[in-house]
Amino acid sequence: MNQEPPVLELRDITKRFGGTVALKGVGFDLRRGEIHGLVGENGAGKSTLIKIFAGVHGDYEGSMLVNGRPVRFKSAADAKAAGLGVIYQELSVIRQLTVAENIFLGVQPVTAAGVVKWSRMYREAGRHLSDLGIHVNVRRPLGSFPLGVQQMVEIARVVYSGARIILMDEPTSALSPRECERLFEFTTRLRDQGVGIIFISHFLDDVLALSDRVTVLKNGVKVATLPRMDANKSQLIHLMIGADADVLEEGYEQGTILPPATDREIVLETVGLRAGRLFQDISLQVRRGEILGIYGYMGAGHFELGRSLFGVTPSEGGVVRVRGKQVRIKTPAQAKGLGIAYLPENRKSTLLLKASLTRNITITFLERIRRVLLHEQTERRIGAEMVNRVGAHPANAQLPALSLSGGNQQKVALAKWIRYLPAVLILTEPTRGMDVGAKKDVLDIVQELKREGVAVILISSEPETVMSISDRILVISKGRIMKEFVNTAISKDVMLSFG
Amino acid sequence: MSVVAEPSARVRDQGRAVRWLRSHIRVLAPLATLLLLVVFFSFTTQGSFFTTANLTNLLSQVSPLAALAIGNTFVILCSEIDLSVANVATMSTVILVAVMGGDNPTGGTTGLNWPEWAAIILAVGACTLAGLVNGLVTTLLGIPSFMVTLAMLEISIGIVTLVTQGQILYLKSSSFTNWLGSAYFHQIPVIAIGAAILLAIAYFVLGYTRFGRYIYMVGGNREATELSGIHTKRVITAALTISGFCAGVAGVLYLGRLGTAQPAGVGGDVLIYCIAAVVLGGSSLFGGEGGIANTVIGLLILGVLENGLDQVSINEYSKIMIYGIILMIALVINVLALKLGGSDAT
Repeated sequence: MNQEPPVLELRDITKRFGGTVALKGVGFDLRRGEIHGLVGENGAGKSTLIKIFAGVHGDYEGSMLVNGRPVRFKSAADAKAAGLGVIYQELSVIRQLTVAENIFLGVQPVTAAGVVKWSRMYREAGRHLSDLGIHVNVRRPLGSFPLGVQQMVEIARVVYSGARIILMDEPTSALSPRECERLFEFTTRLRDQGVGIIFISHFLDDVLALSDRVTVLKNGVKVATLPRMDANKSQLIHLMIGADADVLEEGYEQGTILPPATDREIVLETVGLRAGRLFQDISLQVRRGEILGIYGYMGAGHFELGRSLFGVTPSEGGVVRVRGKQVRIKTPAQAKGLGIAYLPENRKSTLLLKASLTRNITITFLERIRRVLLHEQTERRIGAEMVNRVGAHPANAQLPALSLSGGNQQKVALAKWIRYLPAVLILTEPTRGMDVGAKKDVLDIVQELKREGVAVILISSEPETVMSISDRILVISKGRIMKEFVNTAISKDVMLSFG
Repeated sequence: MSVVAEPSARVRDQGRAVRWLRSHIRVLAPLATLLLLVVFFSFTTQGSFFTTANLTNLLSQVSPLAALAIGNTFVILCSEIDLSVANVATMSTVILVAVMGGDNPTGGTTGLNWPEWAAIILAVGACTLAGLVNGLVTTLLGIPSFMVTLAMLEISIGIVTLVTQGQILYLKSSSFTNWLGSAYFHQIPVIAIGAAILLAIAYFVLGYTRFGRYIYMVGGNREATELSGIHTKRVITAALTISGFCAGVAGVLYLGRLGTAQPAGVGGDVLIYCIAAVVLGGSSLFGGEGGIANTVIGLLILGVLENGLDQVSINEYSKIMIYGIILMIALVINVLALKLGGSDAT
């Protein structure tokens, strides 16, 4: 361990958003030539911390120091000037440009007249990359290389432009195991060259393999910073979700017990369903009157699975059977005809914000009210009925959807599909951003539907939501089913360890 | 639990009136513009604007354009555009005369000499087919309607040139089409009655049928509508097919009024006027908002403007520029009124 000042340090950082405290008294330091892992579950404060590093939030309490000097980033330019580079999950590369151009984005070597010195650019780009262990043809467009290479080129660009501190946010979500290994080699090489790296990931195995130290955040507070050799996976999970030491006894893992399997009719079944990089080899069954929970971290592929089952995006292979009959679901209209209902995670994809609640609700079954003409009176009656049924507030079905809060909009979105019982209801993040009361309302409705015989697929990245009402749970990671839980006790730490 | 005071009755009623105004601002703002223009021209033309003769003339002028604008109303409402309408209408005029047989200026007739009803069916049918092609290529191949209809525009010009061989074709004065374009029924031009019937049908379809509702919803949020299990591709294809049909009918009306079918077409700026009518009337270019009522107001604004300017004694050459300036002002008024009313201003 070296005795220099840390290359990046946070002291007592507190960040509030109105009444909510996102970060409280967080202390953190990154040494020169270190890989420091940062872990925490959804909502622990990681994104807020990243935004403070990246200069998105300049107003916070506490102080940040770079190489011992106090700084406060008010913009991305500030962060960059201080030598900080952020690599997001969504890469900021330009795929149509060559590798060399991407490395020199905005800083091409030019003559006095402003003409680009191409050969010099290609030469230097090539040299820079091979210094980092990457050997590619820098004259080819970046888009012609796989994602893993694109990511490394972006990191190389950031390093080339002077960053000595690099923050990687969930870098491995979309990478294959081989690409992950290459990234780890590359990152280790960077570290050996003296770059300080903050590695944020929910794949605890990766974090443990790569990091020199690991910091755990929970509910906006830093719980611990451990050297790698003192840390193991279950301990990290315990730190991420466990209660504070002095309330250890009170059932902190919040477990639940899943009921035994039933032998009711299988309504929807897939065998070996796959779609490129998004998900592979998905085989599952859902039965009448059963809730199948599918849990996975964001990007695990379960959202895409839901879309595929509703015909929004095509799958490339595998078998889908609805009520025993094999089908190829190509459009949402076809899926609806088969009795499948679907709620996406994004409310904008499901509601017309300027239209009334009634119109939003009836769009899915207008053809059942009248074949050709509209019947406003019946529509309004149904609209009012459904609004009351899902408990949306304010309960005025003639209001435009945008006048409702997010949680209430979500209830209206659900109302679209439940007037006529579907055979299968696929829900994606149905309770995101809702307060406890609204969450309970929605989950109660879902359980009611289950009792009436609907086969429910509940897709979520919130472990609590999945655990609260599912009969069976599948955990998905990197597009594959990691584990199925049925007729057993399950708790959050177990789910996290497989996700 | 806090206590909330009930607003007084007067405030509540005021609120209701204001709310009604706000929710209908998309129709009211253009309507105000129209009334302003009518008043303006009534005064500045020393009375020649507000006569029966002139007003009926205005209606006749605007009727064929109305048929055209109905088609693009459907299309624009579902967030697409049909740029081929004017030239498809020209194609309709040309097919109609060529099949029915036209008057040769030097005597005798030209063309196939089929019965007029067959010629009309063929002409309108061809245009409907063009619309269907527009629709299928747009939805099945995913090419933006802007580009597909642009291509169809060119194809129509090609067909027109081919059929006319560069000549002007003359409509038989004894034909039904000619009667349609020039006759009066109790002082009202028959052509205007025809246009009014079409407008009424379109208004009914858009406002009172399931298909009409789908058009609005596809335009309002295509993704959400698709995810509600609606065949959005079929809806868009239908809208473009309707637009082709309307262009066909518009061609018949134009032919009745103009009396000739020629390569130069039904008029140079007809496409622009058609879209201007839809947009000036308050429908959103992005889809989902507006309708036939808006289109009617837009048509009248254009008609009044053109007709009025014809009668005001100003320099012939500055007329076009003044037309453009007033159009711009009308648009600005629309947008400001929409913003005041709280809607999106487009």
